[in-house]
Amino acid sequence: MKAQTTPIHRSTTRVPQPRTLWGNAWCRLRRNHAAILGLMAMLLVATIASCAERCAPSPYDLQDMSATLQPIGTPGHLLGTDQLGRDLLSRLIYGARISLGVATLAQLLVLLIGIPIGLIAGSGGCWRDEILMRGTDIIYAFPDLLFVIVMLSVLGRNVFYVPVAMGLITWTTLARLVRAQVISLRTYDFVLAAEVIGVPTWQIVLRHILPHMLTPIIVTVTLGVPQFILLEATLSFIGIGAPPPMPSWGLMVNEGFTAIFSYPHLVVIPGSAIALTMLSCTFVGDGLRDALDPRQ
Amino acid sequence: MSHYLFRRLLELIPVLLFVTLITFTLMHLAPGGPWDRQRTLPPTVRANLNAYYALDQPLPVQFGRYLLGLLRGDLGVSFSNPGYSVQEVLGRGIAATVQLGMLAGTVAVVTGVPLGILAALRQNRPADYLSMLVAIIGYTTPSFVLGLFLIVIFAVELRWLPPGGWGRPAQIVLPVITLATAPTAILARYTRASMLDVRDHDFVRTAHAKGLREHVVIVRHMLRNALGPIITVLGPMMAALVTGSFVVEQVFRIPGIGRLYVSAIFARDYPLIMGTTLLYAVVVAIFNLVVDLLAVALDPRVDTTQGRA
Repeated sequence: MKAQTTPIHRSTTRVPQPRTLWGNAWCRLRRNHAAILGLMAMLLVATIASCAERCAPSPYDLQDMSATLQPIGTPGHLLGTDQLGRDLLSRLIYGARISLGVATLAQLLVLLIGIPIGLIAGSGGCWRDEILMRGTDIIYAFPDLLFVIVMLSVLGRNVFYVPVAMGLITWTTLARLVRAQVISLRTYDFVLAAEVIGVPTWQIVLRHILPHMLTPIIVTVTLGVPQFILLEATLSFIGIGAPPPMPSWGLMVNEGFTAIFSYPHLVVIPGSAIALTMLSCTFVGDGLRDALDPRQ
Repeated sequence: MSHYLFRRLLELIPVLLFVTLITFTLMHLAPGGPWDRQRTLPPTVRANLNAYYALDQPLPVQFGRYLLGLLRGDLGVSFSNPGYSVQEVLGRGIAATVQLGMLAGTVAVVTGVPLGILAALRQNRPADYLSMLVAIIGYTTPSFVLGLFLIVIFAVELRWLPPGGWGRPAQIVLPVITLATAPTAILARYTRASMLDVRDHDFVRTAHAKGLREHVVIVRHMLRNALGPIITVLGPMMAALVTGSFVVEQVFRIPGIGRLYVSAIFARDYPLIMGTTLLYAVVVAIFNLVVDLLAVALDPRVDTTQGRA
């Protein structure tokens, strides 16, 4: 929000500050305690993830066979150790990097594929729309998890391929959303006016239509992040995502699974980390959706 | 309406064809083959096996043969289950998966919708906050984490229910709860939003003014009109059930399709991978079709003459 109060106005009447869409949205978001809490939690996790080397007490793959399966609160190992004597807190911290990194990369790929396809389909001619949307329908019909599993068995077991496989299948929702938005925005007067004065189509799409659909895109993207976090954890849990000794949270749950009856904390700690991170993301997404909703 | 149904069914054919083609291509691009998992085979044996299963033919020929088989309803022979056809292998797993999915789906509808209605009627009051908190926690807890927590509590600590396996009625309780939680939460959230949208309409006020009883207004007037958006969320709900079934079968050691699929991937059992993918694609496609038909049946304003509904 830009405050532009001039000295003339200061003395007599209070002129309402110019309110922008984003300013309004921020005001509403600030009043949503759950969203702010979620945002702070997200920032905290992101900060810890980005400087894992400094935060973590030890490397994620350092084994100490003399101190395996230590309980929570052991001196030197705040959250205990796993079957191989690896410090759980350190693995949790490095795991945040995988979780958030994979989700962000996948979401980036979704944006890079979904937006152009939606824009071209919505603004292009009849046959371009038809071909792109038929293709989208086919990809949409593919069960996500099955595609990702097959794709990862093609690419090999590597963390960097996980977001690629996830992005390649999940862009369809965004493409459909963008296409629908373009089609409805095309009938607006400001678009017709731009057409009349001879602005080329690609310029209309990029400079007049695209900025108008930023809010639904932002909401979709924010709410998509927790879904990717879940998908990555699920893949790692099944044994197809990040390869050991990577400390993916899903993989940590999987490794703790065998010892669940005697050492439940091996499952409870990474499991809670996944759930809490997804919870914060969802709070932020819900808050953004409510704050940016023009119907309010 | 029948015209619409016919066109939608016709549209399924190219979609399923492409799903088959994509899976076939990806599968054969994957490194390794079906005979790598056992001890190393002599080259002649390997060649004989390849010839027996027609794996030595060019890929387009193999794909053509597969399609021809599909037309006859033949999904091929499973490599990792010698002596069994893919139909037989899938047949053994499908009962568990379908039972689990249907039960969980029913539980989700029966608990999710009333929970959402309750929250909407008590908006911004403790009941609303509580049910939405439960819903959001249910929505954000991964099913494998939830399943493991349930095992720890009910099977290990309390010893009320078995921790896994399949066959006895007691063994189905924990998997169904685990699988139903996420769809229940999704449904509850959507029902609440949809009911809130409907609440302030004139026809609801009229219904109240006429002196109709509260539950008649809620069910006949509000819910009936709120159903449209709720129906559309059944599609994502189905996706959640499919994804969930993979995990839940793994956690509770249930011999279903999801577990078969994961083991088929590791064993490079090409026909079984193809068969399972197709099965899932058909189920999801038919489910989406049913959802669209329901939407048309519930709201006559939905236009069925234009392209996609």
